[in-house]
Amino acid sequence: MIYLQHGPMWKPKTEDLLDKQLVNGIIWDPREENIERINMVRKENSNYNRISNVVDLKWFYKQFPNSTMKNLESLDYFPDTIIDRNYFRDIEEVKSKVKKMVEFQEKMNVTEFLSPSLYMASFNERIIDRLFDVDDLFYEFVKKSGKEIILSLIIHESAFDNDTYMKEFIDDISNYIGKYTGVYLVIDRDNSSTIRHSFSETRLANVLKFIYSFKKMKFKVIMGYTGIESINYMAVGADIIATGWFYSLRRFNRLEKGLEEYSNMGRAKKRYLSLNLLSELTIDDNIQSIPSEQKSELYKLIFNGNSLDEEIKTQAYELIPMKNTFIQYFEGMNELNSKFDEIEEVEDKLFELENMINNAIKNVDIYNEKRQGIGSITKKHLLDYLNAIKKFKEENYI
Amino acid sequence: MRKIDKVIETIIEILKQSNLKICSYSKLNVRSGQNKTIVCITIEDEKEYILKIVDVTPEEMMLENEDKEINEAIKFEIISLSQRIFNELEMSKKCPNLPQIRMIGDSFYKYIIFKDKAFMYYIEEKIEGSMLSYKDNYTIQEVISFIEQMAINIKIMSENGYIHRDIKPNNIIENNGKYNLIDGGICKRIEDDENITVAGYRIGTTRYLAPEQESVSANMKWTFQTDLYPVGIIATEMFVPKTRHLPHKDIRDIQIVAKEWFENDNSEASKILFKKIVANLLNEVKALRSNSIDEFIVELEKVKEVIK
Repeated sequence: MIYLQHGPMWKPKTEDLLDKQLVNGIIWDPREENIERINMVRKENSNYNRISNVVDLKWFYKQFPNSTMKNLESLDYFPDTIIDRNYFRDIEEVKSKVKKMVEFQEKMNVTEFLSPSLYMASFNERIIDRLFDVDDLFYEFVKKSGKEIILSLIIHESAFDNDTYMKEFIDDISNYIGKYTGVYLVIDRDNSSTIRHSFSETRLANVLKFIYSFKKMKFKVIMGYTGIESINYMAVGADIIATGWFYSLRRFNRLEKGLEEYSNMGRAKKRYLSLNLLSELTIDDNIQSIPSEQKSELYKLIFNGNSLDEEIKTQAYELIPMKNTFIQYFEGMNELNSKFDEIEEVEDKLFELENMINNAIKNVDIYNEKRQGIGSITKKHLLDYLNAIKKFKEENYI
Repeated sequence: MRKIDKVIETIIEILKQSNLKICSYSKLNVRSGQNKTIVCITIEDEKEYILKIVDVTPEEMMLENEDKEINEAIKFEIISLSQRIFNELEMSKKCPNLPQIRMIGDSFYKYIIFKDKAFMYYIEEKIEGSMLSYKDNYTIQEVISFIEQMAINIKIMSENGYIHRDIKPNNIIENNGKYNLIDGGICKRIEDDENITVAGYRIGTTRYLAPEQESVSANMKWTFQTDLYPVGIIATEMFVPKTRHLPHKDIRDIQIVAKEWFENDNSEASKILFKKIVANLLNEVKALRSNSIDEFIVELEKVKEVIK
């Protein structure tokens, strides 16, 4: 299933996606919008209530002294002080905030409860004990609600450099079997790679192991802030992929998301998600600049048969509405997701994924070979994924 | 005559007086707990039984003069030292897969004070067969059968609220391909918290310990998953003779074990057994071995079907 990761400038885009039935749920971000407006919009449009509505509380913003809180500032479940280890000494204070988080979610009439998350830079941080204390408290408040209860985690991707502490963490999470029904995982992606969608193979293999472990424990797994790399998550059994229209909603990065001071938001390019190439192509450079004589051959390689294809073929770049590219992205993601949904066993899903990636690599090679004077497409991310899958399979005897 | 032989003789006499018609007895030369003596007894018109005599002498008692009366403090110590046996007896009563205890008069156990020593003794059903000692080669089917029988044993214990915590070849009796568990001396009731006060305490026999037993914390939650791990090690040692000699550290390294396993037999059936079953049993993370013992048995059934 695909959930929409709520973000800025949301209403028309969200309603388009709802109209076209391209999302099965929304993960609201109270940092980007106030609850009154969200509730009002939901009241006006019944489409919102056909799907799951959950809220990512973003409690971890208060762990960072210089974070940009935006709408979170006015929410009463945030303490006045920074959340650090000292903060947790006042148990009554913590309890009262956890209670307020539950009330907040009740006010939003969520379909599933999401626990508050604390930012983890690694798996052996002391904050983890406090996170579990908060999770225990949260569970006590919502256990009689009759709704699903999802454990929320946000972890920096470098934590996945090795799996020693990760295994202990997984063992700790097993204590929540029978209490929490699922896990919502956000990976704070490293900003060092300039190549879109690339992912260190070791880290990705460990992320896959992490998801696979949760699935073995029968947790529902929701992967937050994901993009095309989510095909890997789908293949190891993640149930829900949450993604959004902007790149910042498809990839969580602590700088871009205002946890630390940062400003670098360029104008987004219009892109096309090609399933044959498993890449996001820039519509102007990678598609519309293809010389006429190569169009028929390369178009076959690029297009998925989505609503946007004709527009790209016939319209000038400037005339293609950005929102249509978002719709195309969601169409593509849904197509990918249903491919994996139809397959039951993880090993078969991985087999399918490897085939898809190998085909995509071949197609990227053909594209790059044939292109004349147009930008090449990278296959770095595809090779990363293949290596990570290989490593994951070896380590898990699949 | 050694002191323990005198003790045996005295106990046999007591048993005879309590209407047990013992025709013969013989001390078994088996390795068991350091304070335990095992005697095989034959009761007229009945089968053989095992008489277990456990030394529960408190240190203070050995310093006492043998003529002195045993005071309350020493009695308390004796009972404390018997705790492990109480657990075992309790577990046997609840778990029909384990050797059953035969009553001695109106009690499941008795004490005997012999000079400066205190012994607790009880009679247990004798399981036919001998302690598991590996033969040269096992087929895949034999290994699966072993895992299945162990899983059923674990299921029975788990359903009755117990885990064994000391599954090892010495605690498995084999008889023509049938495997029975014995000696629940360090068993634990699942619902009880670990009652130790010192973290880092080890419980069980080192080579076959599940990783979580290597350093037990005071809030340790025991589950059937702990009993699955040694089944994985024993199954490996059965199927891959070379692993029987692997050092402790290596037998617990799944990468090394996998390499040895596939070198030993690279057939499709062997791969399936390892990947679908043994790798799960040997998972370092307790929670990932299996979600439930029933689920594990179902998975094993599937594997049996595939490699039939």
